[in-house]
Amino acid sequence: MNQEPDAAAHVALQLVEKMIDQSLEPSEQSTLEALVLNNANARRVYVERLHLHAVLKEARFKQPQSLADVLQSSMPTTVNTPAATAVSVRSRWLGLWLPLTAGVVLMIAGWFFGRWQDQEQTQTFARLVEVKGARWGSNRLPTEPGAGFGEGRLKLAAGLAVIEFGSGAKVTMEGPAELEIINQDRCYLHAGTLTAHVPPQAVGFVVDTADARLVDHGTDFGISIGSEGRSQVRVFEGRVELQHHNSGDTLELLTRQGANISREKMQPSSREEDETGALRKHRIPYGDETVMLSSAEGQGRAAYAWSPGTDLHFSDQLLMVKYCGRPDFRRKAWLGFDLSRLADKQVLEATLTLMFEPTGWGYASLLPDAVFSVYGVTDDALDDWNDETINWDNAPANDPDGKGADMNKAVKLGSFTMPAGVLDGAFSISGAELASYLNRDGNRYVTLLVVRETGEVGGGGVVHGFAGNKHPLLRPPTLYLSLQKDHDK
Amino acid sequence: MNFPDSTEEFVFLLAQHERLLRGYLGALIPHAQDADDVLQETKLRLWRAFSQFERGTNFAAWARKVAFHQVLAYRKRKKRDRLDFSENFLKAVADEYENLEPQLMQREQLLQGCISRLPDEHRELLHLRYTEGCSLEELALQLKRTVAALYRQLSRIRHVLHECVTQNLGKEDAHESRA
Repeated sequence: MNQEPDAAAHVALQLVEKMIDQSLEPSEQSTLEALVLNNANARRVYVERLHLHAVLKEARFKQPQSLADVLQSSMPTTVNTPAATAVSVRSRWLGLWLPLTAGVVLMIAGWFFGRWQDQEQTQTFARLVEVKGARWGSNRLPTEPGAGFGEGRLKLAAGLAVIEFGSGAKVTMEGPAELEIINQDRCYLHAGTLTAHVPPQAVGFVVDTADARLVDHGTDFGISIGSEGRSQVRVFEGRVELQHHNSGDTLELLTRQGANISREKMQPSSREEDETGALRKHRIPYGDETVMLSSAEGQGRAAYAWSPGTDLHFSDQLLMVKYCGRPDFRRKAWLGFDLSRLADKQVLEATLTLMFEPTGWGYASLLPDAVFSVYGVTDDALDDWNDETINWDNAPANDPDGKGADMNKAVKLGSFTMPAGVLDGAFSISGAELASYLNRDGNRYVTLLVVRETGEVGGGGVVHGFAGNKHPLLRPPTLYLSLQKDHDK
Repeated sequence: MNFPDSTEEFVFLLAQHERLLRGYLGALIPHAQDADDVLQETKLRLWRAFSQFERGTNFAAWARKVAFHQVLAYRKRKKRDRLDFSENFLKAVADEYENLEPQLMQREQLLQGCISRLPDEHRELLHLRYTEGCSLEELALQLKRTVAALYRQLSRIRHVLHECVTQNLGKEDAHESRA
């Protein structure tokens, strides 16, 4: 067969499509066979397309909620967005063939999945528009902007999530919080804090709580439910109306006015600011002078690089780290934090937290307790790296032949240990070295290097991974910083 | 991974490689139902022979070897009216699988991201076709479209997914070659 390579591949593709559709004629099958035998491009098309078809048979096209959610709530949360790694791993398990050890559990889980899958996609009432360090309680909800929500409950474990309702009202949930979406202009706050911006077209937006109903008349406001069920409302600008369930009282709040609500009563709050400080507009609620800064903010970056010869096992979402005796398959991660938000404030205390997740590669049993170290790059000129083009040779302060960093260009900031067999969870370093390193930095940008110092016994040891800036569920690498107060200066 | 027993280890390894194996058999056996049957037989055969699998070696390669024998056995006993490929063809395709394995694994990982970028109605169609297993005829009735139109649309969606994965793979390759 002497067809042009592209033409051969094109014909092969048409025939593969017919084969997938089970409508391939015998004569066409002979043609396909000849093409595949004689043309490398056609052979590649044949294998790749049939592989795609096979994988699609077990792919998930709708995102399931967590089993716990299905059990807990009669109200389905429908979500039509990106399935995450965790989901696809889980579903692969659910799709398993033999009812072996975990058979019963899998069968029950499968039943619930089936039940959920049967429910038709309901209407979308709200969309996720922005997230900052968000982690959902169920670990099944999307953190990618654009995700749509129908009627149902959203449990935010940490971080911030901005949700825009169909009416135009924009609500910022501050984790931990639990919000139930009822329709496009109504929600129920079960726990936690939210702030809302309600543009003119969304006037009439309602936030219900256990004790009172808030009807908006065009404002920015905040509402917070404390641990004992007492809630506070504060109007930043505009006007809201409160209706207390038990007493039947109503209250109108204007700009900078607030109210305290309990089961028994509702009272205007005389203070300009609320007592807890929870309801300050557009502030991340981590205490007055504590800030949370992730590698996804500003000019922040996160990437990993691998030693030459590594040809398998990569990830878009996880930053992989591994050290082993052989020169290939080693991996280290680099993090860039944009400190410009701190201006010239002194850092008093600092913690760096990484969220680990199993990568699925290698055997954890081949590795003892694993020690990880974090290094800070000292030469500001090296901060100008690129997360797309970083590699083993150009990565800032890499020691290409060793476990760690080039100590002429970096300082060690701390270490942590993951016990043998543990592959997930939050791990941190903190201490004076990290804080003073951040204070010494000249250009308000720091580059950190994360390495695993522990090698494996023999080959095939586990590859560790923690969330980078593109993980759909887990928080990116984050610095928690306690800053010098302004009046301390 | 630390496995308390070989059953769990087997389930884990199979889960990792089942889709690759499904694609492999789909490429060697033109009739979809037969390919599925041989996949079931192969899995059973793998489980029975698992004690002979040498830990630390390539499970996928071992599974394909077992599967290839199952394909040959199937060809001996299958109905005569079924379409069939020549043995040369089987060998060429099997070799291609060996060459492409790392890439096919990467493709698998990238696919979910590409699926999530599809418009809702395309995902819905894939769900009906692949997850629910509806035939094109059933879909045509349900969605009030012609079979030909659905065939073209499914082809196009698969093409979009393939191109999306290829593009992302390209990014990784470029990244890797600079390493």
